[in-house]
Amino acid sequence: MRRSVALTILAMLTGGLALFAQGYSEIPVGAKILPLGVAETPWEELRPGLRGGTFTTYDLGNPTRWNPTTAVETSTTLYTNLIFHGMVDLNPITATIDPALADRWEVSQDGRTIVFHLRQGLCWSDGEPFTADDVLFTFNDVILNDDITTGVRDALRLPDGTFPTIERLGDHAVRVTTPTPFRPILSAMGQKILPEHRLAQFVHKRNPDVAPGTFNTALGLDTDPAEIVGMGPYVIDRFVPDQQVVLKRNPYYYVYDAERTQLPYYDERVILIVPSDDVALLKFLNGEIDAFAPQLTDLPFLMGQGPLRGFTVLVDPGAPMYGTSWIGFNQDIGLADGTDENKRELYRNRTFRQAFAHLLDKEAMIESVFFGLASPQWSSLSFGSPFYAGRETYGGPITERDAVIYAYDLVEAARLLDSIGIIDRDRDGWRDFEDGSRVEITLSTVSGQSNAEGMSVILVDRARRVGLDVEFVTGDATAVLVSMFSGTFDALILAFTGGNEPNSLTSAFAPCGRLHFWRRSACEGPTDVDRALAELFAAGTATLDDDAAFEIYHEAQRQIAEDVSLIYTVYGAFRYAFYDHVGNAQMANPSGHATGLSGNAVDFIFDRRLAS
Amino acid sequence: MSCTVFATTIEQLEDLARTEAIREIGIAAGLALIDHYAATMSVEQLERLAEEALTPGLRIAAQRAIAQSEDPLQILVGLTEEELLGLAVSAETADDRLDAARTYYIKIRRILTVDRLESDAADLENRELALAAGEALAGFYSSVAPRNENALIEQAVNGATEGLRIAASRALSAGWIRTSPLKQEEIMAKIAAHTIWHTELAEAYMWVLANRFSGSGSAE
Repeated sequence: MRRSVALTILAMLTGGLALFAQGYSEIPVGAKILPLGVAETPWEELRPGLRGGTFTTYDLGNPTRWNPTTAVETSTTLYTNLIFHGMVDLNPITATIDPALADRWEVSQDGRTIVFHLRQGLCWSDGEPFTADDVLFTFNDVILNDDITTGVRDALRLPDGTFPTIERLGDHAVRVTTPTPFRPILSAMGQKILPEHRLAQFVHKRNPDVAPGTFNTALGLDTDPAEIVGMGPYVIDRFVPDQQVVLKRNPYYYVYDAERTQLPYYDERVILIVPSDDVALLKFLNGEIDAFAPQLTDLPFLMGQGPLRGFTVLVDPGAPMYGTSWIGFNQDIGLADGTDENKRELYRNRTFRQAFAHLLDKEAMIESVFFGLASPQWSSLSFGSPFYAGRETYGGPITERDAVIYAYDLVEAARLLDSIGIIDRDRDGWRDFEDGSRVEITLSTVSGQSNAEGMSVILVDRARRVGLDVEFVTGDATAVLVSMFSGTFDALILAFTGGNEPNSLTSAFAPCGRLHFWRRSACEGPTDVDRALAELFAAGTATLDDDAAFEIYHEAQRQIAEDVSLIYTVYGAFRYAFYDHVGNAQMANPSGHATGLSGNAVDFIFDRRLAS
Repeated sequence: MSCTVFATTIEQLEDLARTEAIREIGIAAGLALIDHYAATMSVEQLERLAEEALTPGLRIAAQRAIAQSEDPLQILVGLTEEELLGLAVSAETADDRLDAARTYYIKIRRILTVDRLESDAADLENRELALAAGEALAGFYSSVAPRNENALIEQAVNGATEGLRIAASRALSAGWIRTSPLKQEEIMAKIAAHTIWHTELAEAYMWVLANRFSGSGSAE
């Protein structure tokens, strides 16, 4: 009898615990409300959905761990971004910084201190409370801990090599201090916050019983999913290598829609692990995958089938994918061994580079290489960035009002070449240097880059029309990149990946930047443009006012475009395909939305079929 | 525009698929039933239905629902282009040849051109290759190499080969699904008008009707 009572009490207790583990009994005071469908908000184009169903996408590789701090490859961050959240996040519509686990922040007048106020009443996915201690643990004990191997630390490194100080101001507030104002620190606070109560045991600094570096292997693939605790919309349910990862909703997720429905709408998110794009496409056509990220060359094949099979192929040339495509000349060519003086002088001549920019028949490139599904580029920053200079304001509409355009104009190109003495001196149809030797340009790219190859073919033809001898060659990726970094190339047509943060431009446009490949000598002897840009970049990071920063980076982009050290070409359109039963699907691109998110804007997509 | 509800109930669709005298209308109903069958019936039930159903609408619904769980193309995709081409020409059954041909064009989709597909779709010797080429060609007609409606109707009716007629027919479907203001009963009337003499046009409307039945059409 006593045993029976004890079992009953145990059942009541566990029943109570189980009930507790189902989520919040009422909306927490600090919940984040997403105003889906609410007029005059960035979310007004989206609509409130219904809970339930499974959203299935794919990836081409297995994850390697579940640890967001030690994760490197996208096949892992795809999941850690769903499981964990940071204090701030990117708004998937405006690409501006939004509150996440912090609901607001205050910047001190001198710009050196930011106080983050954390949302109150939130719980981790295991029901434990979320507090400032978790934030301090994440930054001070993990990310800034030399015991631990993480690339995340670099995002916090300040220009002088030091790191910010992060202090506790109470249960729900932390203060971040930098020696000088540094605007990118705000986006760096988007690093995923870790649960102290679960993970402190793996950190030597907190638990001397474990060896230094133990954390590096914490949250491996063999971790019991119940031990992987986060603040994101989903938690791991199961992982079957080479087959699938299944995630289920986090019952303690803190985001709700305007009708007070807890997000995410989908109960389950499945990522099928497929061996190739071909298999992914077949699974998509077969209805096993809800959304697919096509290559540009997939589009003709897909677009005719969409209406018949009930899916939409979304192509928006007005919202190209992140990244920039460019042509760069080696302005240091022959410098090391005292050769190619003519060419070096030519490539350093801005008028020559402007003439070359006028040879780019971008319209023809877009039509014949990109099926009309691309946009001309002129800026060094991706279209999606809120700091893109084609916008009216920070995060505002793209109007291209101040675009620096070198229109396709063979007459102007010829005039500019004539003006600098690059003329046909021996009447053989090709332009020559002053000493009579022919100007011969070798334009290289990585073999297999069909877009670059197609654009180059057009460019070679247009250059020929003004008597400029351009030869196009391809090489394997290693050879081309070695030539780029060793300064042995002549001219390159390649692309950079892109992001929102304009300070990333310093890696290419600061004279000692790692990607300032076209003129390494600028590190020792910067040009006037280099010096002007350095001042602008310094000013851009020193202000925490986004509007002021926008104006600064607007000017930087304009100066870069006028200097044409890199001549921007065209870039493929934002595109993806999704079944029509996925509501709000325009935000669900598994390969990265136009605003740069990596398929993680999944809180608010929903299964429209549930309504029936 | 209806976004969330089925335009017709499952019972009505099954009734149409079971009893409709006009083939394309019955198949349209069957196409709209695929998701429901895949979600509610076992493979054994579906196989039985695919075998025993008396009308093409129900058989197609069952066959495609089976395919959703056991897509044969995913096995084929591991083969080389040459192997697929060989199968597309010499596999024992027409279904197997068509599967191989469709997979072949998926594998080489990134190098396809309109000229190449029109040439393949005009092939009179290899029917399944020509049909699969026609299906792929429809995508080009619907996107990067658009044809006007009159030209497509002309090709759907008088195209030199089945592959070319299919290409135009599917491209018409895709365009009409996006833009046609016709309601269900009007589409049915179109099908009835074309089913005897212009099968490809009737089939073009069949896909539009299936789309309307599924509730994502523009005119409901």
